[in-house]
Amino acid sequence: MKKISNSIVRLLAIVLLLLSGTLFITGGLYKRVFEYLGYRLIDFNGNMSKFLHMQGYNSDIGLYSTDENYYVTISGKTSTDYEVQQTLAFRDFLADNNIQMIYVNEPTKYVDDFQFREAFGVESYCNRNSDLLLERLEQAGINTIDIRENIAEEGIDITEMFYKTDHHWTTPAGLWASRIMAEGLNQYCGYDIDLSLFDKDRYEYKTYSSCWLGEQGKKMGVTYSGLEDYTKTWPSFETDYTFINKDGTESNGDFSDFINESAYYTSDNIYLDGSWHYSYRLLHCINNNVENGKVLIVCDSYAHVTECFLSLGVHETDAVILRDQDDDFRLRDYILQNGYDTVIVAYSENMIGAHDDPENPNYRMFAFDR
Amino acid sequence: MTTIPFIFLFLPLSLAIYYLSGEKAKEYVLLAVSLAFYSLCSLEYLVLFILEIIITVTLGRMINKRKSKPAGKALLITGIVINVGLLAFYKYCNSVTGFLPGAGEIQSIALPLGISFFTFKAISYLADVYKGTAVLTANPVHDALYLSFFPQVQAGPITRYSGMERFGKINGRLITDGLFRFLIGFSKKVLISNVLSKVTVEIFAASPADFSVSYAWLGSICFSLQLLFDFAGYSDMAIGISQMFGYRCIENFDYPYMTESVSRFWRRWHISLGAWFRDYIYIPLGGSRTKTKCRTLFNLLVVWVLTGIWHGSSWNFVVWGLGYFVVIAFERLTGLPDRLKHKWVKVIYRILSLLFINLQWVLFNSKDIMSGLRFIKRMFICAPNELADLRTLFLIRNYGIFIFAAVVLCFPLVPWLDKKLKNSRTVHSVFKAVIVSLVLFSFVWALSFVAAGLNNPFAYGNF
Repeated sequence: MKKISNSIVRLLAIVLLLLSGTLFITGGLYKRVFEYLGYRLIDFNGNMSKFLHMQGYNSDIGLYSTDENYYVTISGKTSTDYEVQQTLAFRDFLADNNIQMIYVNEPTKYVDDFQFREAFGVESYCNRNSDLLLERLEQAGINTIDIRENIAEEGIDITEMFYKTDHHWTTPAGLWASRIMAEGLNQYCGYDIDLSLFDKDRYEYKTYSSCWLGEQGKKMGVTYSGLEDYTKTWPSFETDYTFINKDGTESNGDFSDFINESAYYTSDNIYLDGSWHYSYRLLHCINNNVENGKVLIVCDSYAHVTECFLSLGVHETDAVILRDQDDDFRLRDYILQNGYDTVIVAYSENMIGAHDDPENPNYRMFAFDR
Repeated sequence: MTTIPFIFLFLPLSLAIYYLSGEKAKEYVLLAVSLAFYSLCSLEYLVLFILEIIITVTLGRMINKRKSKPAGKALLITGIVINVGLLAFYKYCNSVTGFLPGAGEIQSIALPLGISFFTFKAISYLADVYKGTAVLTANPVHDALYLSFFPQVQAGPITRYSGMERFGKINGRLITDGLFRFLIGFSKKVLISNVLSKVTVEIFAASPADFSVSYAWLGSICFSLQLLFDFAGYSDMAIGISQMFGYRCIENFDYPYMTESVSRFWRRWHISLGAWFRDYIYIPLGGSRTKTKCRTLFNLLVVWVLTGIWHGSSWNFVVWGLGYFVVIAFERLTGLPDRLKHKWVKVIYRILSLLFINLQWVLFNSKDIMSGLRFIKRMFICAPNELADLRTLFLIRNYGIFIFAAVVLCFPLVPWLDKKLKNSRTVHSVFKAVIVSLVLFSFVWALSFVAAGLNNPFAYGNF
């Protein structure tokens, strides 16, 4: 009798254990517990990696940390043949339709490939790839802007233009780069943009201290690099916009509509929060204070903090990121339908050579023949 | 076995259910847990796995009850053919291109989890039953458990049926010792092997024409260490988990890089595989008790060719096996390692043996023979100014502490200190506390690497 009751107690305990295990998994507690545990462990890992000065721990994904905990990524060598062929064909298409074109080379987080080799003992061809591409585009008669030249001319420290833990440039850097693009529009396309619109004194700034972690930082752990500051930037002068929504409807507003304030509300888990860089939206807009210009920017995510500022000097501005478009999207049809007078191709150097790897998320960025 | 859900959910839950079960139910529970583990790792092959178990156990039971020797032999051969046939189909047909240059890939199928280890265990089970060295228990569930026991299913050790023994009553000491062994194995695997794989993956993927001599040496040494701590780590985990469930598990490694010669290396490295080849291939062929030396050499040749093929289905594994055959045959014929008397000559021979083993691992890890030979050539021949480079220095700076720890742990430093300090009780207690603290710290650090995304599969899991 005692044996039977013992067996029943054991069986009940096992059933209870299995039930609680099932509830733990299906009830979502499992996910929350492991998520919490996982991120605390990542923090610990970041601390240990920092203590041991493991700058190349993520080298398998091409990510390195400098002595100042500033993250940089490696770029392989590329011929630039695909990029040149696509850009020239695109230029010809635009020329056939009386549309002007400028190619803007946006820097990555370092301007000297050799410093990369000195620091990490490995070759990165990031800047040499863009040198080659720009040289070939210029030889073919395409108007180019190399923002690295302006950085050198103005003696700017590139590390101050970018976030330490994210591959994007900061919002004030985006404002600064927008002036250079505006200068390019004036110089190459006959625009008459008032460059004083981009004077930094005409903007207001609000800095949030240690508030977010960039995408590269999430891989290394917040304890490795610490959190980022963020500077929200907006014009102190009055603006008047009409926004053309995705569904074709229009709405009126001002510059503040570019900024999605909800991105600044953080949760208690920094790893799950979105990137603050994307708090500036890419919008198809009409600036009612400016009469001339209809520009399409074919861009990458750097444009989140350039399109809005550039739009202050242009009548109508739109932006397209090719990697985000579905297969039905036809760039050339889109351009013709909307009647743009200028197309700016503004790409960061990371996009060059992405087509060499079909698995690269940026594989389609130079596919201008769509 | 190195995932966070396994460590914090599957294992504790399985142990809890197992401990709560009655004595009679324990083997059934453990079999169910083992099948659950297999289905979580390799669901697509669960049915095949169960079928293999049923067929092997049925044949084993039939051999045990055989009425005549020929009938038993026929059943044994049937069992071996079925198991080897499945291994050949999944492991070798899948990558026939490795052996036939220019041939198109026949098919692309994933390898069932631990199929090579299962096959060897199944053969040893059938052969032992046939020879009468394995005494079957009344319950066939024990046989099924032997074949599917989840800590050993992925990468061994290749235990024998008779070695599948219980410790007796499970007690706290058994559990904590098992847990401690598991933590050590987990740390070896993640903290050393997985971290060093960052270096080896990079170096072995590069073209030898582009790298320096030091870069090549760094890659080869790191791979030797990576493989040891990968496999020895897995074995420690398997031994630890087995112990927590109250089962004995044989040791598989004995500080292999402390070896005195190449022959003795294989008595320290993957001990259960060497013993398997000895008992089921070498001795049945006649072993060393043959009429001629040629026949002994032939037996040795067969063992090493099969060892090579077991490890992988391409020619570099065959050449790797032949390399061991040549050196071990040389050591046997000349008796050189035993004839060395002078201390320094012995040290030099040890170093030469390690050098050979290191070069063999290069061949082992290369995608083909030519790549391996190019890599080895680069280790010795360089153009001017190519002795060292910035990249090697960076990698050493970055991973130096892990390489250093791996090298130190190749020596039995902890057992030696443990023995030395035993005389003083206080010092010994402090030493034990330090070791436990270090293991716990290493475990948490290793877990943090898993959380950060560094969780490579076991290298031997594909064999």
